[in-house]
Parts: sequence; C-alpha cells; structure tokens
Amino acid sequence: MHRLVWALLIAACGTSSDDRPLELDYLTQAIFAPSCGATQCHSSFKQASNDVFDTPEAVRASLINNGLIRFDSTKYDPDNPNQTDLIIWITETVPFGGIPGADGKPIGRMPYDAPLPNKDVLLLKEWISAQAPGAQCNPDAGTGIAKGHACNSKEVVECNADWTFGARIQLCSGDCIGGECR
Amino acid sequence: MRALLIIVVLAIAGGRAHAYPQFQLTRDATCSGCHISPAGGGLLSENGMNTAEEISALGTNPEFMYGKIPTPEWLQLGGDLRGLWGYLQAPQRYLLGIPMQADIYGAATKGKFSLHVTVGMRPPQQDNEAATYVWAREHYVQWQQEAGAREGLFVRAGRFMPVFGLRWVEHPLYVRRYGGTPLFSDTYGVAAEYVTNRFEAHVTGFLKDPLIDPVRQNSGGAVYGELRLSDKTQIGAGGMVEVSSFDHKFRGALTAKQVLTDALLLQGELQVVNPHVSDYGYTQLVSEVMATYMAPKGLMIDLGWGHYDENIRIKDLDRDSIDLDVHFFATSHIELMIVNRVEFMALGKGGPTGAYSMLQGHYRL
Repeated sequence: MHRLVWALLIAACGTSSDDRPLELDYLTQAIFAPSCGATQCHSSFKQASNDVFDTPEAVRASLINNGLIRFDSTKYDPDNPNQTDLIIWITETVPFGGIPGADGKPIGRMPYDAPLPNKDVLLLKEWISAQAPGAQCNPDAGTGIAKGHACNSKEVVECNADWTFGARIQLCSGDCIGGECR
Repeated sequence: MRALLIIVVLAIAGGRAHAYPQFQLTRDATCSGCHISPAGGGLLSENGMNTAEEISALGTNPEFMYGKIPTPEWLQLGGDLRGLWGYLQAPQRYLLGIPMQADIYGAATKGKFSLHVTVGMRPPQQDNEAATYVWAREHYVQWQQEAGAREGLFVRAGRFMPVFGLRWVEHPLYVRRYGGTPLFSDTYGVAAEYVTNRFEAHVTGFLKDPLIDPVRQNSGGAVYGELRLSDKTQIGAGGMVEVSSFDHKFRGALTAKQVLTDALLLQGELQVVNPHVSDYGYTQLVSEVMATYMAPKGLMIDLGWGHYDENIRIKDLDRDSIDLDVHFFATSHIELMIVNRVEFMALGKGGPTGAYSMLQGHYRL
C-alpha cells in the first residue's frame, strides 16, 4: 500500500525526463487535438481558417497545405524552428506583427483560450527540427515537373504517399522552392 | 482569418448541452427530478419549472413563454438564449461580446415513447457557412418504463451526449474539455438508463457521427452510476472507452457530492485517463472541485478549482484553474452571470497565465 501511494505521489509530481515520441499521431492526440482542435476553433466541425487539428490526416494537411511548416530552402532551418509559422502562432503574443481580427485588433497567441505549456511548444520545436516526421510534404501538391516532388531544404525529393520525404531527385545549386530548383 | 477572433473566443463561451449539477441534492435527488431527460439538461419538467420560479428573485410564471402560448399536453416546447460580454487575456488582451446559444427544444410524447429534438444555432463551418448555421444538436427517441415518471428505466436512441460524470454546465471546465464530453460532442448512440432517488446507472454506446464533420472523432462506450448514501451525500463512478482511427483512450471517473449546510454544496470529479497512441501509453489526470453557496434573493455563487495534467510522467505539463461564477436568477426566465477565471500552467512557471472576466445573459423561453 505504501509503495502504491509513493508511486502515485511521484507520478503526480512528474519527472524532468521527456520520453514523449516525436510522432504525428502522438502530437495530434496530446497537443493538437485538445488544444488547437477545440470545438469552435480548428476542429473538423468548425475548420476555422481552413486549419483542422483533430486527426493526424487533417493536421498534416493543415500544416503543409497552409504553409504552417515549410521545407523550402528559403523557409526551413532545422536549427531554428522558431521561424516556422506554426511556432510563431503559438509563442508570440502578437504573431506576425498583428494580423487584424474581426474587431480590427491584432489576433493574439494561439490557442486563444488555453495557451500551450512551454514544454509542449518545446516538443513541437524538436519535432520540426527532426523534419516533422509524418507531415513533410503533400504528394498531390505541385504541377507539371514539380508534381509529386517536394523540397527538403536544398534537395528536390519525391513525396511519398504517406506525406514523408522519399528518394532524392536533385541537389539544387540555388534554392529549392515548391519542389523545383530555382 | 478575420473571423478567427470570434471563432476562438466562442470556444470559451459556446452553447451548453448540460444542466446545473449544483441543483442535484440541493433541490432534488436526481437530474430527472427537474428535467424530462434522464441525464438532465434541456426541457424542464413541472417540478423543474417550479424550482426555477422558487429560486429566482422575482418569480414570474415559469412556463414556456410565461404560459401565454399554450401547447397540447403531448407537446412540450422550450429554449435557451445566451450572450456573453467581457475581458479575456491569454495572454493577448481583448474586450469582446459574442452570442453563445440560441436553441429551441421540443418533445412530443405518445404513451411511453417520446421524440426529443433540439434545433439551434451552431458555429458555421468555414467555407460551408450556408449549410451549417443551424443544426439539430440533439434528436432522439426515448422509451420509458412508466410514462411521465421521473424514476425507472429509460432507453434512448439517437443523437445526444454520452452520459458520463457530473455533467457540468460550464464546458470550459477541464472535466468537460479534457474529460470526454467537450462542447458539442453529442453524437449518435443508444443509452439504457435506470434512475431512482437512491441510485442511478447509465450505459451509453456511441458512434462517430457519419453524417456531418463532428466534434467527436471517436466511437466507444460509457458507463456511469451514482449512489445517494443519504439526502445530503452522493458518490459516483464511471468508465469510458474511446476508439478513433489513430488512438484509443480509457477513462475512469470518481465523483462525489456533499450538502454541507442548507446553503452550501461541495462536489467534485476526478478522472484518470489512459490514452494510447502507436506503442505509447501514458496517464492524464483531470479534476474539478467546486463549492456552491446558494445565497438568498436568487444568488448562487460557485468557487471552483480545476486541474489537468496532460502527462503525469512529465513535469510542468499541468495546469490549474480557479473559477468564481456568480449567478443571479432574476426571474424564472432570466439569469445573469459573472464568470471569472484565472489559469496557471505549472503554477505559473510552465507558460503564460490566462484570465477572463465576463458578464453572461441567459433567457429561458
């Protein structure tokens, strides 16, 4: 009985080591769905700003299609995930200098009603630094020669059906933007 | 993007699906004592309307539209309108005013069977506004063992909220938001419910709504029971399983209520949640403790403490809320509320502290 009580007390206080997986499914369940995907925000029900965060499929589509995470060479720096739009939205009090809301006042830090804990923000940054496994590219995006291709920093790569980077096609001497060397 | 402000703030102040659990034990033993639904919420029974008149400062006829629009005996109508105005800081600061709820309730009864429908305003879906301003959040057929009785066996089939926990009205409470019954998570299901003054038991099986893009992304089942040890003491327990396309969760709940004095109620709910995704399982804690003072002259004051720990193995992922809500039941139909909250993450060191203070108006048709 004493052991059980101590185990619960220790568990309730938490530990410093963070063993949470850097997987899209976990991030969706523990962070995106309950925080960003709340009923009247970015749920499938409401789809505010066409962002949906309550299933892994919807999360990766929102992140990639709406540019919240971008792997173009001009946008992606694995050592500095702070510059991604997702991190800016969830950390800055007035993101992007103040995009006006319905009342003309700047839209504030997301989620409005329940900001994310710092440790959840840190986990998302780690996930982005690790190239956001599970949400890297949209295989249906692009047109012409860039169809089915994606940029992984300076590389043009195939985009797999599961929205992950595939084999390298080309290393760009300049920038890689929208699945093409520029 | 411009609509985002309203949309997200509505997350704090959206419509309601539940009733006031503060009145259970203090006014009647069961939710079905005052509501025609066995789980509470929505249309009031005759006893519920009498209670609405009794607790309000000025009384007035509590019937639908003050009894000026008579309905046949087999048909019951009602409705709720709510709006909210106030201050929000999380951490950006806003002054805001928003509509919350505009619902019409109807129940048609034939013997032991009844059809219940709630039609009302909903937050429209982006780029599908024309088709999604109005919906029927609840619609179900109910059979009950004894027509019109408040006790006995009830069976419901249709769209409603799975019955679990104390069924708090305040959906920002963690035990609602993170507790298996978030706002508008009503869905299709079947429930068998047995209610007596001494005890009640609810068993619900539910499915992800296949007809719309729903709030609830999972299917599963819930069981919940309450045992009243005396007319002042109640304990409860329950469990819920939720299975989605990518995860599953097990949820256990303990609840308790104690009437301390004629005017003071203490109630609480603790949930232990065990989510699993891929090969990773972990434990969450969700709780609420609330003291309610039933002051004279139509006043009711709630002081609540909520706690949510996203993953008990990881330090500084917990958050706490302190809520102070003051209700004034001016008449049988008009309620004014001042709702206030301060929220801390890891006691102030885990993220920005948030707060709101708002005035809410509620008109019951």
